Amino acid sequence: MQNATDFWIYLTLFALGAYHGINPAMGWLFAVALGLQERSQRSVFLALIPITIGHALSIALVIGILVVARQLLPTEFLRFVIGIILIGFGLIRLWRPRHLRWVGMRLSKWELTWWSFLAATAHGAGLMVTPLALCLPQGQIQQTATLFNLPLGELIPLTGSAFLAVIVHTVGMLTAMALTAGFIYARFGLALLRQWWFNFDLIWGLTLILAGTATLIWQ
Amino acid sequence: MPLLRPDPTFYPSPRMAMKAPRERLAYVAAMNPKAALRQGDTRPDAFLVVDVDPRSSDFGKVIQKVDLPYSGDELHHFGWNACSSALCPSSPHPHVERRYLIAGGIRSSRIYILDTKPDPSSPKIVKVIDPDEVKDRAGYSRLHTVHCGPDNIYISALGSATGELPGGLLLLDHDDLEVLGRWEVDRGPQRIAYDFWWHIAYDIGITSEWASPQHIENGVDLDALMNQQYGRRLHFWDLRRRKHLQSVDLGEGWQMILELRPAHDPTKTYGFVNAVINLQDLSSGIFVWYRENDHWKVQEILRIPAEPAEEDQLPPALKPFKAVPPLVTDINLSLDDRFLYLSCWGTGQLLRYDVSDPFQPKPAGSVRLGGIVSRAPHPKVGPVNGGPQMVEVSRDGRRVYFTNSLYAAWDPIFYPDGVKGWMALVHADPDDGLTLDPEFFPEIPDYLRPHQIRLEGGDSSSDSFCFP
Repeated sequence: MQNATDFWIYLTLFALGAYHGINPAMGWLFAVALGLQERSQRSVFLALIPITIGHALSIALVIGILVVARQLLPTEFLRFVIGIILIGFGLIRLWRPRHLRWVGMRLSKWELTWWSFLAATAHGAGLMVTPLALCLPQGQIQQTATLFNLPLGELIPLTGSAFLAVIVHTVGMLTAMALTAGFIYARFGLALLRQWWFNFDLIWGLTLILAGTATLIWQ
Repeated sequence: MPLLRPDPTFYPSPRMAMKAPRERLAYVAAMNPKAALRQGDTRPDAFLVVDVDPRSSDFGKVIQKVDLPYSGDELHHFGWNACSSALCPSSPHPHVERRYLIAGGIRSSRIYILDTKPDPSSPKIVKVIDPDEVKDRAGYSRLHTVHCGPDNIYISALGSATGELPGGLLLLDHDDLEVLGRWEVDRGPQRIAYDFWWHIAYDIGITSEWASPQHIENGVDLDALMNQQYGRRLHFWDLRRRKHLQSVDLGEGWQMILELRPAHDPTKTYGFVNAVINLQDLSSGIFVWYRENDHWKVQEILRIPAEPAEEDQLPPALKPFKAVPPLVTDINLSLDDRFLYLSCWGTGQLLRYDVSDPFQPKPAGSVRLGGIVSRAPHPKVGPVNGGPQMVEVSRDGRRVYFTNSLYAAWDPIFYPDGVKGWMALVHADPDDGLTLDPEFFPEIPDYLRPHQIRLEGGDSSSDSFCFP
């Protein structure tokens, strides 16, 4: 039973990754623009690499914090805090939809990684994943630990599930980005954007609120 | 309220924007020269809304006049709060609306925000930014070009807060429309300012040079002009780091380097600029800028000569030269980067060149209207004065609108009888020539002179595209 639950959690993480991946603001559109600029399909896919890494780092940062927090704080309390943060962040995004103020398209691969990290972080991509990450099994360090006194040697072996969560999410994201960018670049063209670019900020904000509410209710 | 789908007037590429539906309205900035020059008449400037829909019974008429609340601003150029650059992939936000017109007074430094919704034919002033706020926050005055950038609204300014040099760029937040401050981090040797645009996909900004405010606000300063103290250079900038990269001198004798028209196709790295006057022979020049080995260069591609004239036909300032300078004061590039339009304000001509090869322009039609000597007639009203000046091209490239006033303090030097404001329309056939529309000649209130035109939904100088 436990394994079946895990399976669904990982599947949802994958789906969330795909959901992040199809959002044009998360990077596939940037990759397409760079490909069109260079007139090269290769450039599209090459650009997806730093974009994926940047996104994964943002997710890993949040999940990493969660791993530590789970050692120090009771799960029930964390669930409550995460629920509140998600709802609050979602409301802020709905109330005042701000976008990343970034000027510049000629980026090195490091800059593109940084851009993707910022785009994911600013959108709360990692936050959206936390309720699921919280459901994953994670062992407890035997001794009582504080933030300044974490036995990393004991902690690291316990991060397997979190690590897997980041990987699964990232694979989902990359798959969605590659498919979307590939099809748009090679087949459909950008005219599609004018019709089908739904207001992701709106859906995104609602998703955050939904995820937060579910976290609060799901005790 | 944010939109669910992108604003339908945003297009990823200039190619797609050319297929946009035809414009139905034109917004025209009109100024009262007597108020600008403090000559007693204090009636304020106005925005005119002109019906340009041929199916409408009001076609060719001014259907709305929006008076400004203050006097003597001298409206000049203006732009939109948002445009196709909202689709740019590094900070996409296409669910905002192309809705507000942003206009700065070139004399007052005041900023007006007009809301074109809910009724586009009757825009309302919804915000006024005080000149002192502009000066305090940005350190600039005398506002000019407005461009909607991917991150903010960019406005160029001719002068510093005290009306001296340097002029430069300031930013307006495109969410709350507040002045954010000066744009430049490192301006290098740049002092004189005028127009501003970019090669957005290359992170390159470009600025041009008209003159210091003191050399324009009281008429043309002939001594300064002869000493070549008016602008002669282009400046290239790193858009990301807001840093000056390179200056390019257009050469001995060229003065007043004005309108920047970079290729709309973001993969291209060239553009066109007009040099108003050459001191040796009063001709105007068109230059192309281009990149070679990471360096920016310019090349003269067109020279429009002065036309000989009898002394008694000329205004006092031009009598000694026995010639009419063409005074190419505005240019505009169609969205397919194919046709470049030149306004010859002195000789009263609108010229078109095929610039498919930017280094080998080919003549592709012309129309005469007004002119210092020619006073070429409009079919509807007979001889007119002033000449083609601000020129705007529709997105599909088939209609060219233009107005006839240059700048309050300079109009009487070249047209001492007083520029009588007008607006005209030319139909542009890509394979044939230019034809003046015989019916389109809106009646503009006598005390107003029209300047820049913006077309509903965007035009050929309003939008920037991040996709080819």
